[in-house]
Amino acid sequence: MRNKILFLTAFIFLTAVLTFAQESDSTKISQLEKRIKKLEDKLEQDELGKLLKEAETVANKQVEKKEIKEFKSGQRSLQAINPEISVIGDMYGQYIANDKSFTGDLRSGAFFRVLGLHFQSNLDPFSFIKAAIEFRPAGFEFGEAYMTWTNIFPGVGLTAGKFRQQFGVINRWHSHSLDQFDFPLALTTILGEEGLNQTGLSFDWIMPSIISDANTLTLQITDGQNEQLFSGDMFSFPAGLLHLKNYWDLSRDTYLELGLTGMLGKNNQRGYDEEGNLILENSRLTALGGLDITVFWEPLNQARYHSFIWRTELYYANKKLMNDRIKAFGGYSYVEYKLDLQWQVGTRFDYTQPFETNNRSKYTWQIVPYITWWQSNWVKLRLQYNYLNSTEIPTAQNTIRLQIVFAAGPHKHDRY
Amino acid sequence: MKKQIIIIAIILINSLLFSAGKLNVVTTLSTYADIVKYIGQDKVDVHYIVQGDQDPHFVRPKPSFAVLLSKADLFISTGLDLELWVPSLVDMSKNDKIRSGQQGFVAAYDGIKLLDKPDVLSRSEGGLHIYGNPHITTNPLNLKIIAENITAGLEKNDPENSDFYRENLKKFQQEIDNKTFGEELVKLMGGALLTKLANNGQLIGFLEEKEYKGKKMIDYLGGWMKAALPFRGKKIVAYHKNWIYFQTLFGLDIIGYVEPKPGIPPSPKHVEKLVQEMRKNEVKVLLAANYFDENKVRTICNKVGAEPVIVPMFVEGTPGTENVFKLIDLWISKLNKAFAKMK
Repeated sequence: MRNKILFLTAFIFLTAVLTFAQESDSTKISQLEKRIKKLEDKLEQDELGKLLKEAETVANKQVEKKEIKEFKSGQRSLQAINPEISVIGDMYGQYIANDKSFTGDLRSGAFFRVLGLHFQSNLDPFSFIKAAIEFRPAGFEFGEAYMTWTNIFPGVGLTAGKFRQQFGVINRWHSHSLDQFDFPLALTTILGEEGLNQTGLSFDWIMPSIISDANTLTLQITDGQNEQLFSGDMFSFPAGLLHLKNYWDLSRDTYLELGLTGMLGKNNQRGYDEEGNLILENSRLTALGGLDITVFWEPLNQARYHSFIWRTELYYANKKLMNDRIKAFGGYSYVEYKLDLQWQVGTRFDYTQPFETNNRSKYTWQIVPYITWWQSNWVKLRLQYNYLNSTEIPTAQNTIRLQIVFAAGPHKHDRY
Repeated sequence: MKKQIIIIAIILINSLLFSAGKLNVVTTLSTYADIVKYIGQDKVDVHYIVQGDQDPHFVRPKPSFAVLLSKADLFISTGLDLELWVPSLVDMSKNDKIRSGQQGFVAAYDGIKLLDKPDVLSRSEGGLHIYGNPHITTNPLNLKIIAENITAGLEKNDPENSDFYRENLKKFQQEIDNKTFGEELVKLMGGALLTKLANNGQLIGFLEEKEYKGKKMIDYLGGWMKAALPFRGKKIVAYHKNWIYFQTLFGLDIIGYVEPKPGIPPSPKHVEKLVQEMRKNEVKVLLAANYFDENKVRTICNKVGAEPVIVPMFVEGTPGTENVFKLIDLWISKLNKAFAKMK
C-alpha cells in the first residue's frame, strides 16, 4: 500500500514536472513568436516609413533655379486695372437696284458704318460703368455712358447716364448686335432714326415672380432729348418710361417673354432759340406704347448648333402738335433659325405708318430675308436683301447688302 | 373639409419653416451642386444653372436664373473665364451678397494649380482662357480642393453647422482618395501624399519602381488610377481642350483636337489634316463632351475607323451620372471599352 502511495506520488510529481516543462517551452515559443512578429512589424514600419519618406522627397522635388535676383517695381504698370476695352467694326457693301437718284449712304457702294469703342469696368465694390463711343463717317457720336449701382434697395438697381432705353427689346441694342443689318422700319420711323437714347435715370426692379417665372419692372426718367418725340434741347421737362417684362420658361429649351412699355413726355418748346427769341409754347404731350413678344427655342445640349426665335414688337405714338396730332403705328416680326455652328437664316417683316399727320392711308412695308455666317465668335458676315415698298414712293426699292462685323477684345453680348 | 384645410395649412407652414432654415445655394455647374449636396446634405437647398449636358461657355443669362440668384445665400462658380455670362446674371439679380469678394461668393478654382496658361494673350489663339484652362472638374483630385472651397463658403454663411460641413468634407475627400487610388494604397501611403505624387506626375513611376512587403507598389494601386492603366500613354484625339486635367492625371496622350483652336469651328481642311494625323499615329479613340456636334465626331471616326467616346462633362449630363463618382466611373469605363474594342 505504501509502495502504491509512493509510486502514485512519484507519478504525479513527474507528470507535474513534465507539464511544467512543456508549458514553459510553449510559453517561450509563444514569446519568441511575439518577438518575431514585433520585429517583423518594425521592419515593415521601417520599410513603409522609408518608402513614404522617399515618396515625400519625390513629391516635393522641384527643379532649383539659381538666378541673380532682380527687383522690379509695378507702380507704373497698372494696365491690368484699366477698363475692359473692345473695338467693334461694322462695315458693309450694298447694291441698290434703282439707285440713280440716291446720294450719300443711300447709293450703291462700300461703307464703314461704325467703329465702336466699348468700355466697362467696376468702379468700386458698389458700382460699375459701361460706355460706348462710336466713330462714324459723319463724325464722332457719344453712344452710351452710364454707371450702375446694382442694389440701391432690395431688388432695385439704379443706372444713371446716357443709355439706349428699355422701349421693348431691340431698342436697347447697338446696331452691330442686331439679328439683321438694320433696325426695323417701325423703330426708326416712330422712335427716331437712332431709336430712344437719352440721358437720365433708370430704376430696375426684379419683382417677386407672381404671374410668371420672372418679372422685372423698369422705370426710366430721362431728359426728353429725342427731337422727333419730345422737346429736344428746347425744354427740360423729363420723359417717363415704364416697362414691364414677364418671362416664362416653357420647357428646359424654350422660353416666352412678353413685355409692355408705356412712355409719356412733353414736346412743347420753352426756351430761347438760336436767334435769342424766347419761345413759350403751351404744354403738349407725347404718349408712346409698345408690346413685345419673344419665343425662343434652343436645345440646351446643342445650343451652339441649333436655335429658333420668333420676335415681334409693336409701336404706337400719339404726339400732340400745336393744331394737330400725329398718330403712328408700326411693328415688325421676324423668325430666325440656326442651321448649325456657323449659319443662321431668317426673315423679318416690317410695317409702319409715316410719322406725320394725316397718315391714315399711308404706310411702308419691307421684307428682309438674310443669312448670317459666323466665322468665329468674334467675326460674322451677313448677306441681306431688303424689298421695300410704300404708298409714298413710286417704285419698290431693292437693296442687297453684305455686312461684316468684328469684335476685338473681351466684348461679349449679354443677350438671352 | 375643415380638417383637410388645417392639415394642408400645417404642412405648408411646416415646409416653409423647414426650408427657411436651409442655406440657399446656387451653383453654375451641376458638378459643384453635387458636391454641395454631399457636404451640406439636409442643411442646404441647391440649384444649378448649367445643365450637365450643356456647354458652360455659352449660357444665356435668362431672367429666371436672375430670380434664382436673387434668393441665393451662396453662389458658387468656377471664378475663371469659363462662365463669362455670370457678371450679367449677378447684375440682373441685384443680390450684392453674391458678388465677387462678398461673403456669399465662392470661386471654386481657388487653390487649384491651373494648367495650360497661355504664353501669348491673343485671339489668334481662339477662345483663349487668360488665367489658364478652366475645365478643372475633369480631375477628381481637383474636386477635393473645390469641396474645401465650398465648405469654406458654407461655413462662412452658416457657422453653426461648421463641424457638420467639415465632417462631410473629410468623408468626401476620403472617398475621392479611395476611389482614385484604391483603399489599400490610401491606407499605406495616405491620400495627401498620393495626391501630391499624382499631381506631380510622379505617382505611377514611383509605384512601378518601389516594392513593399516583397510586392511591387503598383500592385497596391486600385480605383480609377488602376482602371485607367490600360489606356495610360495611349494616343487619342479630343474635340475641345476640356480634358487637360483628366489627361494629365490619367496619362492620356492627346495628339490633336477637332477644333483647330479653342472655340474655332473646324474647317474641312483642318478636319482632313486631323484625319491624316489620326491615321499616321494610329489613333483609335476620339473623346468629346456630349454638347459638341456628334455628327462631326462620328464622321471623323468613320473615316479612320476610330471609336467615338461621347460623354457628359458634368453631373447629370446623362442617365447614370447622378454624382461625381458615377460620372468619373463613366468616363473611365467608356474609354476602356473604346480602347478594348479597338484592339
